[in-house]
Amino acid sequence: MRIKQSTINNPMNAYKKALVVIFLGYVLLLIETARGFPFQLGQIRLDGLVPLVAWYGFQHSLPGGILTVLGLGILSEQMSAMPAGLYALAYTGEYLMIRYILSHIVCAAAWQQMMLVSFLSIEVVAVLLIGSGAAELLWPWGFVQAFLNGVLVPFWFFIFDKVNSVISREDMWCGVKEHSEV
Amino acid sequence: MPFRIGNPKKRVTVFLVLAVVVFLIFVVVGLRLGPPAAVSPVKYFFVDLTGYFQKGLSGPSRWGGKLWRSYLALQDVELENKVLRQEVIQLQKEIGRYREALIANARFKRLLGIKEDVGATVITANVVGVDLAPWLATITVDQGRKDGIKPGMVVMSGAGVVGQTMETSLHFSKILLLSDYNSAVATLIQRNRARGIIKGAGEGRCYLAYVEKVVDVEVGDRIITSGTDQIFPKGLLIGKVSSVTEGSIPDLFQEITVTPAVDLKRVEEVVVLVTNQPFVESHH
Repeated sequence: MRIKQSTINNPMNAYKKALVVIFLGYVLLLIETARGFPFQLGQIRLDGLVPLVAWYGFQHSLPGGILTVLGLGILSEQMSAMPAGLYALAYTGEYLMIRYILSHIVCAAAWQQMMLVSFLSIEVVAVLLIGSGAAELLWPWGFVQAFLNGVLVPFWFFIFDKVNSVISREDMWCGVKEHSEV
Repeated sequence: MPFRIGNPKKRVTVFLVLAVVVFLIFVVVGLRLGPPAAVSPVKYFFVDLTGYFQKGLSGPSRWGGKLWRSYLALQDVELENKVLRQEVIQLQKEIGRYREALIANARFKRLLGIKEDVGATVITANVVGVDLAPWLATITVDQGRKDGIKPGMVVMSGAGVVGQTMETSLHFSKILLLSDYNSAVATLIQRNRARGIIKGAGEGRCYLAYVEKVVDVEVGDRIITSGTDQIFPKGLLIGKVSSVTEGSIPDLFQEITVTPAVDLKRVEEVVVLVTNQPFVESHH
């Protein structure tokens, strides 16, 4: 599997992509909190948000992308009793690191992306656990969570690509306008 | 020489990076001070909106679970019926004795001038969501400020204490469960009246802290609220002691694990004790 590291020159595309990420993030948040227990095993969970930030980071460059990620972080903390700002901090850190790494090396193969997401998940989990006063869970639970996030990258990226292709279709956004003009 | 950035695109980047740095500074300050009051209405509106979606998503699994449990309950119903009939006879005898004790207790209280317990209205609520972070034990229920719920109210289930309300929007409330790492409740061991603090250990578990080694604690001892924290009234069941160890020699206190009376990982319905004043234990 190869990820398209596209540079988005069209501002409309960038705007749409940001909306897609916020929409996907909100749906994932709803599912993970409303159907919580089937998604949680011990201190780990089936987390689609860290891969979502990574997927967005692969495709969208600074500076605009960081605002979307901050928005996703603020959205996430409304669903948790976590101290204010921790999710925004963790996801922004992940996004900035992805952009930094991608400006130096190419992560085109699936296994490289899986390793990258695993590595960045450790950053996210460390910020969240230490910030919420549960640092002792970093080993082993934090590392298991990071490993799981990495392993599931192909699955999550496939889902995000599919949803993105459906939502970003030109006729979905412009079709109504064209008809109304007629 | 003045600092100038010629390229407009670079200028935007610099300003955005600066804006993010300022935001992160606010975040760090916010971690210390808590969110500003001006943000609360927006936040509570969002919690309400999301709550309705969560309620819609969690509904089918709740109904499915109830249906399955109803089916299981039908099996062995005849045998259970016999046992229950015998139990009813026993309980009726006990009720008679308790009624007598209650009347006597009320008489003694009047004689001694002890205040009556603070009355509380009970509101039932369904669990519609759990915390995003699996190590935090908070749940969202579908009753809020409009039903009279405020932060710091006692939440129970059929068998015992579940936790306390921590945040309320108009239609939904967040509840801090006993098993959360940030939860602490003042308690008593019912048998010997020794005091301790029940703290959360994550994963639906609790432990009893600050019980000295000289105190006699046995597996199966019932742990009840002591009423001294001014949140939980005295005498509510928390759970039972599941293990006791002395701990290492320098430790002052015993290591006591408590199994909560309620399965906190699978709680689906709760009751909130709505009261306008804190529960205070009467000391005489």
